Amino acid sequence: MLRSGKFAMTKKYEELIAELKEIVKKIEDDSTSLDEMITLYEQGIIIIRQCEERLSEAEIKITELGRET
Amino acid sequence: MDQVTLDKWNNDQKPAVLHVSEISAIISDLLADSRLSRIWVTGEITNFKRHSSGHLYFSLSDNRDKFEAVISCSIWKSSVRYLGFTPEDGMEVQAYGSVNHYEPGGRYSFQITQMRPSGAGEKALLIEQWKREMSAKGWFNSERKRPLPQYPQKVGVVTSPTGAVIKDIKNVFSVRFPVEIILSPATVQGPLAHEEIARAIRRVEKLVDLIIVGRGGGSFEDLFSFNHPEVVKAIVNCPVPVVAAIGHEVDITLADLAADFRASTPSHAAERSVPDRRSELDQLIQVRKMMYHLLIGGLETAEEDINHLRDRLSSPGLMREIFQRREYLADLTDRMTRAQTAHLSRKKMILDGQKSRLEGKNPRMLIVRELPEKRVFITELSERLGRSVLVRLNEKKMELNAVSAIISSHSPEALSNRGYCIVRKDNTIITSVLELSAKDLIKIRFADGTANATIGEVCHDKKV
Repeated sequence: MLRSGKFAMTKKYEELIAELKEIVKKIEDDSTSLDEMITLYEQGIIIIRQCEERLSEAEIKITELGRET
Repeated sequence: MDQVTLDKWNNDQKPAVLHVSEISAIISDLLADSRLSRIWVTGEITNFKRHSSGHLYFSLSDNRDKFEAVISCSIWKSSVRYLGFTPEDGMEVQAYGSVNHYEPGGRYSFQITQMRPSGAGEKALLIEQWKREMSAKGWFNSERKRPLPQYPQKVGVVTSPTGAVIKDIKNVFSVRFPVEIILSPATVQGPLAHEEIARAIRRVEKLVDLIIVGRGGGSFEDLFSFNHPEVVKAIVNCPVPVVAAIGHEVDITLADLAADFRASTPSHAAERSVPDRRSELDQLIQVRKMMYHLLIGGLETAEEDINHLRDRLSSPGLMREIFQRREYLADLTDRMTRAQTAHLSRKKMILDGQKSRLEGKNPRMLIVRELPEKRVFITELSERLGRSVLVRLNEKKMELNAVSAIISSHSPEALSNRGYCIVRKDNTIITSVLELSAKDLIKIRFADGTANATIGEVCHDKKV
C-alpha cells in the first residue's frame, strides 16, 4: 500500500486528469453498479484532492543550461 | 555664393539692402528645387531626440571621403506611427521626404515622411527568397502544426537570460500553473545570433515537453536572425511543439510562421503553453459536482428500480390472483368442513347404534336383572356344598384315624418295643451284613438305651 501511495504522489498532473476522466466515464456508464459507482466516486474525490494539491504548488523552478554543448 | 569683395562693394554705387524676410523668401524659393523634394536620403542617425509632443528630431550624417556632412531632420508625430521601427543613434537609414525651410527659425531641415533601416530592402528581398524556399519545403503548412501539450511538465525557453522575456514567462507560469522552466540561453540579436538560437533550441529540445522561442520587441534588423533558415530549420525539426513569441504583434518573422503556435508576446506565449490554475480548479469543482450528481442519480435510479419492483409485486393482476386463490381456499375450507361434518354425523350414528347395542350387553344391567335369581341359586348351592363337605370330611377323618393307627404300630419306638434294634457303625445305620467285618466297633440302639459291641465274626446267609 505504501509503495502504491508513494507512486501515486509522483504521478503527473496529466495522468491524474486522465484517470479522473476514466473514472467519470465509468460512473456515467449505465452498466456500472451502484457499489462500483460509490467506490469510483471515492477514488475520484481522492484524485481531485491530489490535483488540487498539485495546482497549489506555487514555486516555479528554473534551470539554466550552459551555453556550450 | 560669390564673395562680396571690397572692389565690387566700391563699384556698386548703391549697395542693395534686403530685408530678412526677402532673403528668407529667396531661400525658401531656392529650396523648393525639385532635386530637394520627394527624395530618398541615406545616412546615419545622430542626436536623436523624441520630443514630448511625439515629433522626432535628429540629424542624418554622412562621412564620405573624409568629408562630413550633416542635415537636420524631423518626423511629425503623424508619420511616426507608420515607421515600423524605432530609430536610434548610429542607425543607418534611408529616409524619404523633402527639404523645407523654417523661416521663423532660420533653419532648413529634411522633413521625413517614411524611413526604413538601410539595407532593409536587400534583407527584405532575402527574407522573401527564404520564405519561398521554405514554403516549397512545406515548413509553413498548417498540417505540420502540432497541438500544444495540455499539461506540460517542463517548458524550455530559448531567449536572452537577462531580458524581460524570461521574467514575463516566469511571472505568468507562477500565476497560472506550476511547471519547471529550462532556460536555454541565447544571444537574440547580432550577426551570429541565428546560430546561437538554433543551437539553444537543439540543446533543450530533448529535455522538455514544449519550447518557447522568445524575444522582446525590436527593429526589423534586431529580429532578422529569426528569419534565418538555421533558426527556422531548428524549429521545424524540433521533436516537441514550439511556441514563437518574437517582437511585437506586427512583426512576423519566418520563425513565427514555422512555429506550431505564434504568440503576440512572451506573456501570451506563456499563457498558451500551460492551463490556467483557476480554470483547472473550477473544472475540478465541476467534475466533483458532476460525480456527486451522477452518484445521487445512481442512487435515485436504484430507488426507482426498487419502487418499480414493489409496484410490480403489488400489481392488480397479482391482487386478483391472490383474491382468487383466497376464494378458492375459502371454498375448499367450506367443502372440507361440510364433508367432515357429514362424516362425523354418520360416524356418530354408527357410534350411537353401537352404543345402544353395547348398552344392551352391559354386565351391570345383567347383574341388576339376574342378581336375585342368581343369589337364590348361590345360596342353595352354598348349602348343598356345606352339606356334602361335612359328610366328606367325616369320612376322611375316619380314614385318617385308621391310617394313623397303622402308622403308629410301625414306628421305630413300636419296633424297638417289640425287640428290633438299630445297628450303627461310625454313626451310619447298617442295613446289610456286607457292611460289617470282624472286629468292627458298632453301636446298637435299643428302645431304652444303647450298647457298644465288637463284631466277632460275620456270617452271610449265602456263601459268597
